Amino acid sequence: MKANATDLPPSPPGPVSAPAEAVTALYRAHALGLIRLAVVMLGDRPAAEDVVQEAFCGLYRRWHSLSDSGKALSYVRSSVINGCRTVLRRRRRLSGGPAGDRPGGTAGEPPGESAESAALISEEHRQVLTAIRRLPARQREVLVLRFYLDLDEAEIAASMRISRGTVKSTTSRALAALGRLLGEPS
Amino acid sequence: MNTIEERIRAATRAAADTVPPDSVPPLELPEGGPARFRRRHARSSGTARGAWLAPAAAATAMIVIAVSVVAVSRTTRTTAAAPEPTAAGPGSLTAGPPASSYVASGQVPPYYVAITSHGNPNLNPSYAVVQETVSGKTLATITPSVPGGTIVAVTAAADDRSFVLDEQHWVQPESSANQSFQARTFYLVRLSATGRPGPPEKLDMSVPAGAMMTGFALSPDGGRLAIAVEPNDVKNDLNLQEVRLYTLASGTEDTWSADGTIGAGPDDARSLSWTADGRTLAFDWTVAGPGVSPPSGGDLLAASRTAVTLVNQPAPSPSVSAEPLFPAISPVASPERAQPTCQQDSIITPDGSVIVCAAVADTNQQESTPASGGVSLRRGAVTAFYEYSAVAGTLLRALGHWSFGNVGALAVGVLWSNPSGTVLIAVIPTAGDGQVGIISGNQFTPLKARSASVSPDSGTW
Repeated sequence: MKANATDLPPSPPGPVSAPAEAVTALYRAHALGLIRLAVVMLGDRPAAEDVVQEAFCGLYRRWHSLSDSGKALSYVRSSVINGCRTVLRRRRRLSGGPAGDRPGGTAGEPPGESAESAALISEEHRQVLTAIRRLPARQREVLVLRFYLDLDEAEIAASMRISRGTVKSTTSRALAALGRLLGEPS
Repeated sequence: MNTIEERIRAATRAAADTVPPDSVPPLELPEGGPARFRRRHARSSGTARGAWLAPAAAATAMIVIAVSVVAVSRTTRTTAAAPEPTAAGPGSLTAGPPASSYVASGQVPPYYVAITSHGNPNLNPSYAVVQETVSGKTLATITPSVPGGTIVAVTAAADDRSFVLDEQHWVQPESSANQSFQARTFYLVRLSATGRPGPPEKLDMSVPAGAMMTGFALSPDGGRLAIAVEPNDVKNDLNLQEVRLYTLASGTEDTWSADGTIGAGPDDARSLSWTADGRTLAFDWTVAGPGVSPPSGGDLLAASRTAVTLVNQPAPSPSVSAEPLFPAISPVASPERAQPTCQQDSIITPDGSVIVCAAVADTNQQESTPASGGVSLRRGAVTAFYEYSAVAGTLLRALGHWSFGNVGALAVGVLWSNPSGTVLIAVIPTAGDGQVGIISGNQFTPLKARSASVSPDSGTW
């Protein structure tokens, strides 16, 4: 089921000679889906919006060197994933440890998560999200791309620049690790 | 449907739904328009979260350069570093001598053991088959020792006669239990001169339920078994990885442990490799744990890759120690638009002189189809089997540096090496799931062995 198809429709055709219009059109079509993707990764709405803004600005700056506009969505999605990785790395560096070690925070709960967002997520979902965010970056990313965006192996491989075999093995490892974190029966 | 998958979908959907459709902020593009050579972009944001925007933007720019390898045209890459002699562009694949000549001259083992199943391996238990390297003919079938069992992995000694099989209780697909965490027992099987297996001999060691085995390798002399395990210690140390060394004759065990990961996943029979003298066990080691940041840049695998040797001093030894073989494999400088990067599970050659990694990059191109007015994706790939000095970490040579115009999966893997790394058995991409064959220089000889979608599932020589 492609539940997020409405969030991430195919790229609209756009002339390369009109970068501002093309990037803006792409943003209108995909910003919601990409912000939601970043929120899932980060649990932090302001940070998610900034990551997406930066990704589209990066696309805009490099528009002239883009070999074809059809790759724009793939490009910007990879940028969002990398941007999320950077935010998480910086958080971890600031806290000196994994998510659960942050001063004033509990495991997997990002410091910027709003009270509104927290209230909207059930305890069951919070537990799963916390466990996902405790996984290593690559495992977390394949799970979100696979089970949130419903991307297939080839699409995940392209977004993360890894082989399909690595996607498969990383997914397997991530599911196993997540099962242990959640106390799933083995 | 797997319960945990449903839980992931529901939780991520719930998190996503906290962003209402009508709450997307407007896009703020930088003034002055796009530029070809600008590397940095500073937003003129005065918001509270602007405090961390500058380093985030800088880091993102660094990462985007790597991403641009895929998305940016060739003209932006004209300043790439001059290539090393061994990093020239890909050549054409040429047909090698017949497999029978490799086997007849003793360059390649005559048999291998593969894991297979009746039908979809995700839905059916697996068993082992002994097959001829040249013909792929099945010489013998080894079924699980008990009803309800499944054989999930196999490792071989250097004599091409001794194999250890990893057996588990089979978990039905509709069960919520996880196959990867079932208890494991190990059986030693010896082949006769004609490739016929003797009776399986149950070994003393095992991996208990709850732990995940991510690698195992029988020593070349068949006397020791190395097992990489993520123990069931999630509450105390989420990142703990152990390498256990068992001496089969005495049953003694040495253990090395640290925070990090080994192997591509459960049952990976490629993640550990021995030198012929049995003194060095090598594995790719990705460090993890508190305070350890993921590597930066787009080349995650290569940047995080550290080959480590686990040295077992002459027995009896009170403990084993692990030391980095060399700090990290550097990405290979190349003028190619798509630069192959090392995938998981490098191996050390039996003479201990070379680390071999299988590398791949995609060269996807969109093609216009005027008849329909749309575009289609043409998936291509570039492979290389990089060989690094195990002493210095420098690139020695690249075998199998080929370009493929149309492939299905980005399938690469190195399955076996001769003593010095000049002849490999490896997987290369095809229009399907890949092809197993013998690589010598830029020559390739296809074998009948099945290429599994995950290379650790392919045959073991």
